[in-house]
Amino acid sequence: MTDPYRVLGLSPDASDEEVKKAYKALAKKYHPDVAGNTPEAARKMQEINAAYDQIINHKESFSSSSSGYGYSYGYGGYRSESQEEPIELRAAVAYINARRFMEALNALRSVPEERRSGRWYYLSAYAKAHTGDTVGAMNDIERAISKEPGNATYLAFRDRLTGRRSAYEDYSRSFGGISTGFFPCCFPFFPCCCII
Amino acid sequence: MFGYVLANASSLSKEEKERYKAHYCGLCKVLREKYGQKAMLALSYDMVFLEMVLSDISDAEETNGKERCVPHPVKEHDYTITAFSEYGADMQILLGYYSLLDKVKDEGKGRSEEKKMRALIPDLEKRYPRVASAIKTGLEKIADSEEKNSKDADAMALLFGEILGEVFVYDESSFFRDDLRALGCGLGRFIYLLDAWCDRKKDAKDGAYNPLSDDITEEKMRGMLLDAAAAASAAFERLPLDQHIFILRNILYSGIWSKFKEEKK
Repeated sequence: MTDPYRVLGLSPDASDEEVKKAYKALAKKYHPDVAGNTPEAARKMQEINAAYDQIINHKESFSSSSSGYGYSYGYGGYRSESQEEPIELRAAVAYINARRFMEALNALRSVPEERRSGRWYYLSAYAKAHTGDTVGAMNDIERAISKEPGNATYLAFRDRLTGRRSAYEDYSRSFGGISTGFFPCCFPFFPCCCII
Repeated sequence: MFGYVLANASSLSKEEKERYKAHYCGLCKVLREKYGQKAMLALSYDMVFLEMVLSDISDAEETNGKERCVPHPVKEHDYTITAFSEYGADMQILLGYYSLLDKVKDEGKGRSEEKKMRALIPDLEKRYPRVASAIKTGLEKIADSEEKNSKDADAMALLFGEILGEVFVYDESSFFRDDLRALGCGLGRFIYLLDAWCDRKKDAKDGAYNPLSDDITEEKMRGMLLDAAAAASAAFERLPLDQHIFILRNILYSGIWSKFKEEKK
């Protein structure tokens, strides 16, 4: 795999902000409206997307199995973990690897309730968290842990879910907390721009 | 149920306030020009947030100008219009219409407005089939559960979150599709819960439906809201935003709590 920072024209110590800026500049350059619908531009775009994904989502990498090999980002990057992955979960894992979480949840729903393993609940929690359903994700990861209490991947994922809340609160505090004065509106029942 | 996603002006700079306001006025202008003066009554800050997120992601070109309008006839003000202002305006109308339809069915109120708005909907449904059907079926599910008097506030909030998640997905082929959906979903959950919290006393008095249990504590409520906000922010921080990032963070980490704080007093 090529160095994602190099793909974006950055040095490896670039900040997330710099990564986002560089990504946007390149995405604009290779956008079909600018570069035309050429295979060259499409390939370049995929590279840029994969590099962005790899850097920004790096801290959140998806562990494909309990033995913990990392998630291979992108486009056709699905690794042959099929020896370990039960057949009925493979489609869901492939969708998750392609970051298509709604499809992953659909694939998971097709597994009947009595066949849902700890791994099933972990995958479901992972996909739910990425569609914004953190309550569902928390329920599912608890189920996964109760089925396989010692599983480090599941425990780590639960920590990450709870960690998000405290990260949000910390960050929120830097805005003067969530209790500063808000604007009075001169026109309380009118959607009015004068409130700012 | 809208209008919770707004900035905390006390911690924005003068320039940021003006920029935020100009995006609001741009959206308002598009609404008025496309749907008539009265349509601006439907405008909420939630859509300003969406418009600013979408235009930031794609570095959309801006049209800036100055105008006077009906609510502010004396003083000229700046407006900013981007390619996403129209999308925001259209979504506002779609969301507004289906919620109104609900109200007509439930309370028999708003029949004449519903009739006037109805003419706008076929075009919008044709143009945004995925989003329109998500809003429609989502609101139907919510109405069903309300009828059964569901007290599972998180499940109810998720139904609304799923609607807003779909609204946030401007383009299904976008690389950021899922992060936008998760952001919209988290915000939608937040809006629904906060709305339920703000209405709970009135609903109890009127004997109207409310998803929160009667003995809900402020601490419990805060935890539920925090979970929804954190889900939104996790997705938000993955998006390549830079232009409006301070304003948007101000909204997401501070502004959205304003009604919760007001309610406490």
